[in-house]
Amino acid sequence: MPLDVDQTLSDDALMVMFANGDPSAARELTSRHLSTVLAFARRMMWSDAEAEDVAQEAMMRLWKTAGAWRPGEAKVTTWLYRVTRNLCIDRLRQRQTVGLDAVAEPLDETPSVQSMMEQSGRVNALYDALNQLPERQRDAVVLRHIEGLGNPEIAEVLEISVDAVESLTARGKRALKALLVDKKMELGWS
Amino acid sequence: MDNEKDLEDLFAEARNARGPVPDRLFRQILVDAADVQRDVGEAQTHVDRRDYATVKTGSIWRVIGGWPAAVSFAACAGFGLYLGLEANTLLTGMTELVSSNDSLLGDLNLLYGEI
Repeated sequence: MPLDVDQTLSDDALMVMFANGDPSAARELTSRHLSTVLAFARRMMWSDAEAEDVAQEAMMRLWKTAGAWRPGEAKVTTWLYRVTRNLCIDRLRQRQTVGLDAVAEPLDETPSVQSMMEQSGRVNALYDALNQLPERQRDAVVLRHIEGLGNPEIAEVLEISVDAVESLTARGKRALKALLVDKKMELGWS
Repeated sequence: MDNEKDLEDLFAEARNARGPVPDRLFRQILVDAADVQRDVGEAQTHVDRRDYATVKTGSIWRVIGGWPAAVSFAACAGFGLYLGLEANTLLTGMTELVSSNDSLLGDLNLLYGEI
């Protein structure tokens, strides 16, 4: 059995290989997608420990769905974004239900998201502003402008129409600009 | 903030500020993948064995004739058992029938002459 797979193979092909028991397919799929999933989860959760849990769970769901994967029907990246977002939303709602005091504070034990992502104060200011947006607007803006997804892909992730994505992105961006005006100094903008 | 470019630059900065993937997480995910593959493989083997047993049993059943053969066998066995248990009664009945019908033999002699 080969240790490495052909890196030009499509995600769909790798999913089929994985379902057929090829362990090298798991390695290649993880190499391709884990960093994206983890980064997206970090942006949503604002906690390294929870983001890692979410990423692990999302990848686990990918492995479990491999047997039923239908090539050409959905992109692995889109599927992962959707699952990751749903997992994050579940956890964020759980946080709100349980209350912040009852939730373990992961930032005390692990390096902070800021240090992990080597973010500057400018990026922190951006995330502060993003977190003040309504959930869907924030997700649409993050997926479009930070993750770099196209509108049809975002529509699949958020399970809404492309028109709704365009509207959310535009409104989100406008609201974001308004919030960032107050942080001009921090951002070094004139 | 009037400049759209400022915001795009900020987005680009955020895009590039992607933290590293911890090795421990990468390894754990591969362990999870191996576990899932093993579980699926075991489930598949179990199904295969069950299929094989079903096919094998079905083949033998067809070779020996299936349900028609089984019904015929049961009928023959039942009739044989009946004969075995009722043999005395049957033989006695037949003997009595023959001895009580000697006149019948005489009538036959008259009809066809002495045999």
